[in-house]
Amino acid sequence: MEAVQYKCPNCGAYLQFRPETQDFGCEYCMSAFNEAEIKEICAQQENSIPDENEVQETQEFEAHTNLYQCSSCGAEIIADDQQTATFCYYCHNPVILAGRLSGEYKPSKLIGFTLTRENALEKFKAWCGKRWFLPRDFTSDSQLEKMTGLYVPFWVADCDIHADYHAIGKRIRSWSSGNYRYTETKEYDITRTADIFTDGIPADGESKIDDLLMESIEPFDYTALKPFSMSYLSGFYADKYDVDKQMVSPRIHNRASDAAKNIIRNSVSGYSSVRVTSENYQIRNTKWEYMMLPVWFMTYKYKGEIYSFAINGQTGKLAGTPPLDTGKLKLFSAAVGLAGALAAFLIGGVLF
Amino acid sequence: MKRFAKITCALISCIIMLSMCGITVSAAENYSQGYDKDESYLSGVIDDKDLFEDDPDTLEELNELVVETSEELELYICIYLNDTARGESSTEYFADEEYDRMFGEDTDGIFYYMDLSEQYSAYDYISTSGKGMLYFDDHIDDMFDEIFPYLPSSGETIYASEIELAIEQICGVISDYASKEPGFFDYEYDSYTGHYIYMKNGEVVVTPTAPPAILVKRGLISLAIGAVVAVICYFIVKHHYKFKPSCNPSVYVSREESRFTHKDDRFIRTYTTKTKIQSSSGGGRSGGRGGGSHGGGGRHR
Repeated sequence: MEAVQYKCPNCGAYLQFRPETQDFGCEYCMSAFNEAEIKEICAQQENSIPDENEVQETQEFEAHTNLYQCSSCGAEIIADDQQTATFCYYCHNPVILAGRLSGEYKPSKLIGFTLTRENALEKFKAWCGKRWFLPRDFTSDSQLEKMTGLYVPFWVADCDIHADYHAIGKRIRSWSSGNYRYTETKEYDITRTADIFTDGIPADGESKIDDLLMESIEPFDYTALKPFSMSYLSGFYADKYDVDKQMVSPRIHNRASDAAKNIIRNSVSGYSSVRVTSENYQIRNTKWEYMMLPVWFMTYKYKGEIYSFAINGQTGKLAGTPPLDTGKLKLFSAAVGLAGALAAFLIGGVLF
Repeated sequence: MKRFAKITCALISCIIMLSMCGITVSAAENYSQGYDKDESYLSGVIDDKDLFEDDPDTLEELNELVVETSEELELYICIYLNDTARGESSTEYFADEEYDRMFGEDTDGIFYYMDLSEQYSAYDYISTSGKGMLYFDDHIDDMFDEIFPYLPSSGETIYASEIELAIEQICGVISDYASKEPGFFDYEYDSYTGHYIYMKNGEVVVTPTAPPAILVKRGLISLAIGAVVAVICYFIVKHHYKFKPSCNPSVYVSREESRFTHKDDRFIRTYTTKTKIQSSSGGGRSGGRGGGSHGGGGRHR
């Protein structure tokens, strides 16, 4: 097995993948190469990137990834052999080198980071700026340093759904005549059957990361999907999945059914009320793909609780639970309450 | 944090200072004429119906009883035995005016108007003034409950002996209810004169300025409102600090590939119901009078 060398052909320094320009840059001689160029250059050199057949890629993945494990929360982090993971992205405790990965964890595809760390921090700070009651150290430099570029493992499925829907719809019209009010009700038998296809519903394969948090930063633009290459890992970490395809299957199917339900229900309109008599969404076929998607991830420990934040590394969509400094909020509420009391006292002569 | 603490302290100070200002201001003008022991003789029974015409001794005894009660309670008391039928509002007006004429405006006292006109239905009225308002206004119904069993019902024959007992009962009831001193939070307000009546340091105060009890009460209610506002504010903000999932799976539906194989809205039936439209109406009344501040109330026998 040949070793992968992402070295600058000009100065020999290691190349880094740069999300903002989607190329590989040399920090020493400022050279820049796109993926095709670097492969072409490497192909002409000894110790270059191996041929792109599946077996070689899997071997490359196995040979050049290190698995680190958090002794505190058990998270398993993947890093390429050019960098060393030192702390757990989830609980911030030190991680230890646990060994190498088998090829089954190599994803088929990946979306590279387009959001740089600076962009991610800007978005995060803007999000924090709207919230007055965050703990003071939440936006401190030491906390922001914990923002980690993480490739999260996702199971992505295309579903073929057959929908069968029956309902009774009512159209109601009212009018007055003399001393009476008349109400006319017309009833309709509503039938909808449809073949509905969903493309690329994702479900993360990491049990530690909240599923709803990951769903909240969706969707990803799959047109940017690329075949997995070790080169994208440089400068970032990846997570090893611990939830397999069978385990995420019900979740994906529920989401596919919900999507189909929305389409069907939105096609029923113009009724005052609709009573569903039967509704069935049958998943006929599911195509699976395992890929890694880019997420800027950060957690914050506050009063014994872990608050997680995620930013879509492609679109910049942010989601998370803001920690609440209850002391600050209590003081603020007291001030608002006293202002209310003062107003009530001043106008109280009129009211009570 | 420090800024919040400063705001909180400033607002608390404002409320306390406003309450203090109110209490200080409330010590201003006092229109109360109180009760003059030297004029206790003004109290008594007025027999407009001439019920005791043939028995002046009994009337004299009853007068003495009323004067004794008046001196004991330091309240002017008049029990008026009326022979003329009046409506409710003119009875109330008459009682208030007659009280002011006999004892003066804003003095401490009570005027019992006993309707002995033998008309249906008899309407008795109690007019109170000054301290009398504080003693009796909240107990008018209870007082009538205790007095009416001694009085003839509307349209019944009236006997002097019955009325004699009733007057003794009235004096007893007045003594009972006047024995309970008004508390700090007890006050009366005459909406016609705009005067508040309350006790301060054992003295009756009749003044247009709100009593300290009102300011303290208003302060407490305001603080309660403030507490509710604070709690609502706390929970609203707390709610905003909860995680809100935002994902609509419909974005994953392939519009090009998806298609409806059957889409039908078939009419089944129609039916019509009718309901009668209800209507309603309402009304109100208003009135006024002159003189000093009066309280009280009346009841039909």
